[in-house]
Amino acid sequence: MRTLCTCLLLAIAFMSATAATAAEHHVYQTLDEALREVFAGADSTWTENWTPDDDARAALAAQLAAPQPPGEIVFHRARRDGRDLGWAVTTDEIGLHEPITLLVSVTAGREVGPVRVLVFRESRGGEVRRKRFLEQFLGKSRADPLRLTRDIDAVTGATYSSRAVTAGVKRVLALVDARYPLARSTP
Amino acid sequence: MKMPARHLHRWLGALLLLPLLAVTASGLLLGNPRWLDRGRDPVLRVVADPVRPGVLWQGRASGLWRSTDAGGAWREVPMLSPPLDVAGVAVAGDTIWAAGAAGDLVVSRDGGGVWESLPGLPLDGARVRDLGAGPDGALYAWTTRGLFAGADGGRAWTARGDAPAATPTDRVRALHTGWWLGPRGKLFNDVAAAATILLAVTGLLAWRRRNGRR
Repeated sequence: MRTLCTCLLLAIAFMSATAATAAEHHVYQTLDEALREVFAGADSTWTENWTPDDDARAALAAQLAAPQPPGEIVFHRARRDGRDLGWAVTTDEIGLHEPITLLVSVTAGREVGPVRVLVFRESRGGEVRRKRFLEQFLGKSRADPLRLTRDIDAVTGATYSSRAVTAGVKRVLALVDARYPLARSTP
Repeated sequence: MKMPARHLHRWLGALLLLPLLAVTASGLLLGNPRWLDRGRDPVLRVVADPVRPGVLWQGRASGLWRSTDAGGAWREVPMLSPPLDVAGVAVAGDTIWAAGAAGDLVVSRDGGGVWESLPGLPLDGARVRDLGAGPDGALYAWTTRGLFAGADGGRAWTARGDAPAATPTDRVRALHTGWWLGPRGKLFNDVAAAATILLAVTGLLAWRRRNGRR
């Protein structure tokens, strides 16, 4: 009987936890806080701006099968002991109704580094900020499909937010490659 | 209870155990369809392109697929943020919309090359059943909450008319699966169903053990 009660309580606790939702329009981290984390130990940081022209935007749209919004893109850069730590770029991707603001970092080896959810505006799905979900992106590159259910597992109850984060990571990888082609690491 | 009545009670209980488990487990599974559909990619919608001969659009759980040879071969339409459980595809000239069952929406204005994610329909948990476009580009979505009309290329939506009333069968199904209380309330049915299955199995095991000791 005691075992049965314990099982029931555990089941209820698990289901309540999976049904938890996040508060609306939540700023989980500021850009500065997130940059300090993704470029931990950096001894110099700077930004490089890029406004893609129509041709560059068309090329990006063709690669991603998604339009690249007009406007300036800010690449956050960092160095430690003379070593390039890569790039970090913020991007907005629509979840189900509202955009989610992310910071995606890419290592000098063109692999995904830490990803952070900065602003979450949907009524549910804020669980995508959890480490367990975001760590799936570490080490991914443009060679990976970066698709839900293929190489990325969505958070239960936050499928659309998970899809948005995945899209944001894919977009930033393409932006870095477009601005810093492999032949030369600096423009 | 006298002996024959007790025997009748026990054997009836044992006989009813299987149908009871079937009803309870099927309710649990109906309330959580993703458990059964895991790893599958069912086709949910097929729409013939009214502009491009031989082109068919197929809505699947995983996203949007296209055939350019009238259904001979299908390829997934690449896009950055594909809609999930695609329930509706609408075509007006070179503009194509695809809507996921939860109301997530993408649009292509170049015949299917580049796809833009739009804010989803304001459904509050209702589901998209179908999507249609008029020749003038007017967009409509049929949902479990009634008809919605899209404006500004699908960026703004307003409800039209009354929501369809649930049929008695819908209500019984909702009661059976737990959805009568919504997604959260459903969890109580899940727990009750799991507890019933557990009680039935442990009861049977206890009965067998007791009979074995005799």
